Amino acid sequence: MKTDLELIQDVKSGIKAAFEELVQRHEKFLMKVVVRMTRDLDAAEDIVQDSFIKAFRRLHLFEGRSSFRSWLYQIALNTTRNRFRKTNRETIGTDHLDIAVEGESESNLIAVDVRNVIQKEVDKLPDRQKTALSLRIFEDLSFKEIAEIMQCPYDTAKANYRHALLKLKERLEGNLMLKTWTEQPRFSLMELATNSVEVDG
Amino acid sequence: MDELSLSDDWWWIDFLEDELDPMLDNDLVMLLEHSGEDRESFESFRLLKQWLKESDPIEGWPIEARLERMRNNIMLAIEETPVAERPVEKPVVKPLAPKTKQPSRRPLDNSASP
Repeated sequence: MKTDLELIQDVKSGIKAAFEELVQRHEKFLMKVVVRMTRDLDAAEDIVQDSFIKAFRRLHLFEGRSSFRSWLYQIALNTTRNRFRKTNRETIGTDHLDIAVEGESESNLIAVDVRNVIQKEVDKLPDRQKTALSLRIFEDLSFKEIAEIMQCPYDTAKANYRHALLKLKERLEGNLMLKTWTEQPRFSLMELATNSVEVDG
Repeated sequence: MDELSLSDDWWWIDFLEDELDPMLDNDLVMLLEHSGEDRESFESFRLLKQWLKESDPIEGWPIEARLERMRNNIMLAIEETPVAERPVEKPVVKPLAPKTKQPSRRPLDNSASP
């Protein structure tokens, strides 16, 4: 399998089909991060599409000093900011938060509430902390990759993540709804014991 | 272990993220074994991370269906676009230093010549 850099070289030498492979590799990641920023599928689809087209047009400027994914992320971030600037939308709405949750069982409703509580707290975090948190938690990226995407030193990326987690811990700890949720069988002590570090020797 | 202030929350976060210096791993495992307070602290971060993972705002959003359409649109859009080439860097030409005005020579005064 060719690396991103090899595919980029192919595109630069005129093989446009290689770009489709690059799109396929990174479309899901980009779509997910933009949907998280916009919480709007239509807007996210437009932004991601524009970002890939811009990337193609500027591919000659890509020098491979960062990964293609983090370069794409920067383009998508700027495109998102411009889009919001044009529409005078200052904040990201949370109206669509429940879109994915269907069903009316009590546990589902609790899950929706819990998600909302957590997401509202996450949305209150400063941008850079939120970015570090969501890239780590939802995309499972290493701090090295996060630092590259955020264009900051490794330790700064990690510090942003730590601060985010600490703030959320402080704010969510006293929440009764979360306690109830935690006390459901799937969060029983047995489960905690098997998933956490073995402390019994 | 006390001098390392291992009770600091940052240690637990690093431990949870597998980002801790391996030399310190054993110390933290010991703390988990012997200190209920530390165990609670670590568990609260572990649970928080789990909550966050499960509260992904876009989990289940139908993004897959859109990806193929988007990819087709992208390929159509670039079909007519030529692959841009890196502009050839022109050699830097230093501007010529402004000509300093040479003092006009006096017409030779031949009167003093022998």
